[in-house]
Amino acid sequence: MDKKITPREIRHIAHLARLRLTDDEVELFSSQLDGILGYVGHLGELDLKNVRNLSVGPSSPSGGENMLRRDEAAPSPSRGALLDNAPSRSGDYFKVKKVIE
Amino acid sequence: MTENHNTNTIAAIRLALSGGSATASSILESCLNRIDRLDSGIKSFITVARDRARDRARALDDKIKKGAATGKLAGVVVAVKDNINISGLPTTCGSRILNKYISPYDAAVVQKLEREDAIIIGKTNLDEFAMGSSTENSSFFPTKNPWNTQHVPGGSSGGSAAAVAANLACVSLGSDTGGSIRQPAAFCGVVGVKPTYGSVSRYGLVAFASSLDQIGPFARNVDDAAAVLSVLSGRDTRDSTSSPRSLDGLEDLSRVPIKGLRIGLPEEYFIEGAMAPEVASAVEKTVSTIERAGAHVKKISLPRTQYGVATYYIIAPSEASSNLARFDGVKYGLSSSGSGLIDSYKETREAGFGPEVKRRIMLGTYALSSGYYDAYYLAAQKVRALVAEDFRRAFQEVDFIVSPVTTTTAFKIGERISDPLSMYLADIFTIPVNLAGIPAVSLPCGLADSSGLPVGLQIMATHFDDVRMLGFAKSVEDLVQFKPLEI
Repeated sequence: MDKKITPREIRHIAHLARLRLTDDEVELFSSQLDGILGYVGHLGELDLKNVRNLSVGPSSPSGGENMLRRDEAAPSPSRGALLDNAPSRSGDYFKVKKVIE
Repeated sequence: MTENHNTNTIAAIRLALSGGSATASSILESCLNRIDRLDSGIKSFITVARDRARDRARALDDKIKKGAATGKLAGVVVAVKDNINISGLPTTCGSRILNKYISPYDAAVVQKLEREDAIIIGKTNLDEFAMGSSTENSSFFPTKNPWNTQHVPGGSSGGSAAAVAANLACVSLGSDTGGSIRQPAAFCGVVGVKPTYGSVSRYGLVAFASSLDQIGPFARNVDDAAAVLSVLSGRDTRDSTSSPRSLDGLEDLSRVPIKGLRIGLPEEYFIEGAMAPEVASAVEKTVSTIERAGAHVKKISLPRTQYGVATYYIIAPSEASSNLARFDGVKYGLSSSGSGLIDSYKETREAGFGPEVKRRIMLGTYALSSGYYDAYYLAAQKVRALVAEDFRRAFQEVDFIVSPVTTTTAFKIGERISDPLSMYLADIFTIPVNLAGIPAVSLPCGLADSSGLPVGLQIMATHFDDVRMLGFAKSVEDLVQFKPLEI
């Protein structure tokens, strides 16, 4: 994992992350992410073939149990309070840009 | 109204309210006066909820006057980190992207505090979306360390730590993903607890890295931290990681006798050059004191310590890149218009997120992207299992593990902001705790020789051993006799 991360790659990642980076940011992140990825790449030194993934199983942070609840109706925040936060609305709808041209 | 210095612990508040020497309103006014006098220099609060707090204090005083039963935290003034939702108040997360957002609901911890008659005074400053170790990444202003305002208070819960250190609130809430409660507690000379993962509901906490995030208290002493944790903890069906195991014995916390305890010092933490000499000397002095009180102190090994930071800086940004996808300018917050829907998302996120948040979203998106997932995210999850295994083995040999919280005392404002990797590497002592999901407490253990700034001792325990851990911390607190800041 020692290849340099290119500005082209940074732009691709930014698109996936829905960020429009400035040219200065592209340059800054190319060098900073290189440094950080070089450091985290040390994990490649470890032999992990026989190690289990922590996100599943009894050693996961919450003890591995699925904490389920009953599907019961309960009060939720008011529709008005939620809609009041809308940057742009039309009546009781959130207004967005045209999705299909 | 004058400032009342005799009501800065929960026990003192209880006594003052029951004896009639203070009212909930007078205690609140004393904190508001201190905020007026001191917070323009410290900048710990983003929002001071004066009217809301006054209404609640008045209602509590009426209840007391009528002789009605009051809650466990009656009249206790609490500051809340501004990534925790309180209905009717802004939640900013220290970010421009939540511009004008007013929370339509209460976080579980807020409901629990107020059910016990605590008085929430306001929302505290933080690194944007809790990403940082200095509170300099807030989009609004940096918070200053009350011990020396040239220095950072730590982060990301810097505002909550500073508010308690400066006596602007009795206790406060923070969130800890890689050390964000313990590190500012150490820098500001207060107690900070990162409870066992799953013991406190995160419903209403704005998610950063969901497999690591945990809410916990700041306080001026161990008893107060335990009393707040007793109210916060417990099963909540609205957080699917919330555990049914309860933490009993936090109210009226009993000291755990030091004599005969087995205390482990991780040799990987105490290597040459790992920490500033003044931190090492304060911690070693405290360890000797614990040993003289009858504990068996022994070296232990946590062999994967050196991989902790790398593991964290894959897992946390990966989860953050997913959690922060919701900030798109459609349902709330800042909204910038572009030529189409995708462009609008991009414009909004470019304008709304600060540099550290963008950096971590980029890092996480990269680690999760096609072709890199196995090398980064999957590898990190596996190393995480090894880190957890290190602790499991260690706790077969010892009751508690003790270490410094930080490698240095509070650094100067501006000193590390341009070098993100050096800022990340300083989290080496706090990160493994989050990776393993175990509890830990930061306890002030003295002032450093050269800087005169506080040093924190970290006590780690096994899963759900929070109560005994705090009982031990209380015994150590008696031994070290740390003098809180007087301003």
